[in-house]
Amino acid sequence: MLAHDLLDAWAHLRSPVHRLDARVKLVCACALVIALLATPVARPGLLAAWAALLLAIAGASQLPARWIAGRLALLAPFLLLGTIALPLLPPADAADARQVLGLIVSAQAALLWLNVGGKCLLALLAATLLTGTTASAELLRAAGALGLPRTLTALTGFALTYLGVLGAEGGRMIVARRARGRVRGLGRNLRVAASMAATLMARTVERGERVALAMVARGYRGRMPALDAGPAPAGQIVLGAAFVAACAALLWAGVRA
Amino acid sequence: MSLLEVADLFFTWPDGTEALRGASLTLAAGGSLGLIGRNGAGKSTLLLHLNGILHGSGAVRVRGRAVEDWPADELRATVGLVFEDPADQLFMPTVLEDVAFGPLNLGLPAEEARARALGALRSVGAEELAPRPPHHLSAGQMRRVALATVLAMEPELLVIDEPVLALDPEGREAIIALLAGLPQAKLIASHDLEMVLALCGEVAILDAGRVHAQGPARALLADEALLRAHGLRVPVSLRGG
Repeated sequence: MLAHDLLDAWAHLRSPVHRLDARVKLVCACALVIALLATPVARPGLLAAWAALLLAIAGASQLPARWIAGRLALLAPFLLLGTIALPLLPPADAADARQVLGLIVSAQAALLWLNVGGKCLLALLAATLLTGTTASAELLRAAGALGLPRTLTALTGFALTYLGVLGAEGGRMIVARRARGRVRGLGRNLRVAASMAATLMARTVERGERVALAMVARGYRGRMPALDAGPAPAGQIVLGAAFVAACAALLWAGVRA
Repeated sequence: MSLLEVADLFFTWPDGTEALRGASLTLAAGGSLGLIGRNGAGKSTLLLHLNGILHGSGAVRVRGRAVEDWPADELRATVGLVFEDPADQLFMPTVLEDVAFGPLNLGLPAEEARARALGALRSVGAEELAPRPPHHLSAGQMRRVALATVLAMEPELLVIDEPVLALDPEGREAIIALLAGLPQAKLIASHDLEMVLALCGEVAILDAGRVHAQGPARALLADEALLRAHGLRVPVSLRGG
C-alpha cells in the first residue's frame, strides 16, 4: 500500500459522521468554518462554544484522538512563532500592559492572538474531521457536485493519485541508493539528492505525458466527464440544513449577547 | 477485408529517433496477432498509431478506412488501447469512475456509462473493485481494471501492450485466461512468447521499426534462426527434446 493511503487511513470507520453524505459534510464544514471566522474577537465564549461543538463531533467520529492531535500539531510551529513574537508588540498604554513570565505583554494583542490562533486551530480541527471521516475520492466528487470546477477536482485527484506513486518511486530510489553503500560527506549527499530529485522530476513529466496519452486514447477532449452521484438522502439534507441553521443561530445569539 | 492494415509506416520522434521504418502488418476481423520484438523495436510506438494518437507517414487502415478519416470518438471506441503500465491508464479517483471515463467521453448518458462500466468490470471479474481507488489495487487487479476501462468502450479491436508484464505466475495465468475468453480481435505486443503462443493465431516480428515476418504463430515461434536474428528465443514449450 502506498504512503499517501494515510490520507484515507480512517475513512473506513462506520461512525455516524462517516456515514453522512460527503456533500452534506462538506457544506456543514464550510458553514462551521465561516461562522468560526465571523466570530468577533470580543466573544471568546462563542469561540469556546464552537470548540465544544467540534469536540462533540470529534467524539462521535470515533477517530483516534492521537491521530487528530497529530494533524493539529501541524499548526504548532505557527502558533509558537506568534507566541514568541507577542512580547515584541508594545502595550497601547499602562492599562493594557500585563506582566507574563517577567515579560511585558499587551493584553489586547494577547487576546487578538488567542482569537486568531484559536480560530486557526478550530478550522484545522474541522478540516481534519472532514477529511478523516471522508475518503479523498468521495470528497473530490462532493466538491465537484457542489460546483467546484471539474478541472480543479480532476487536477487535485491526479495530485493525490500520482503524489503517492511518485512518493513510492522516490522511496525505491532512496533504498537503491542505500543498497549501493553510504554516501559520505554533506556535499556528495546534496549532489546525490539533487540528481535524484531531477530524475524524479523527469520521470514525473514522462508519466504525465503517458497519462495524457491514455486519456486521449479513451476519447478525452479537454473536458473531464463525471458520473452523476444522485441526490443525497433527504434525511441527511434536512440534518445538514439544520446544522447550518444552528451555526447561524449560534453566531447570531453569540454576537448579540 | 482486413480489420487492421498497416502499410509502410514511418515515424520519427522529435528527438530524432527513428522508431518505425516502413512497418507493415495485417490483422483479420476476429483474429489475434502477437507483435513481438526486442526492446526498442518500435512495438509501443506502432500501437500508438492504431487509434490515431500518433500519426506517421504511411497508411494505417481500420476496416479499410484510413485512421485520419475516422471521427476521433468512433476510432477510439473501435480500437481500444491498453497501455503497458496500468498506473498510467488509471487516473480517476475510483475504479468505477475510471472505467466510466471512456463511455462518458463517447457522450453516453451517466446511467448508461455506469451500466457499461459495471458490465466491463464484471467481465474481467473485478466488479467488487468498483468503489476502490485504483492506486490501492494489486498489480493483477490493476491489469484487469485497465482492460475493463477499454472493454467499457465496446471496441472491435483490442490493442494490448505487454499484458502480463510484472505479474506473478498465478496472475499471469489469470490474465491469459481472461484474454483468451474475450471475443474481440486482439493485437498483443509482448516479449512473453509463451503467452503469445497461447493467445495468438499469428505473430509479426518487429525489429528496428520494420516487420520482418508475419505468419502462423506456431511456425514462426519455432523458427530458431529467425527468432535469434531478431533478438528473440524459441519458447520453452516449442523447443525440441
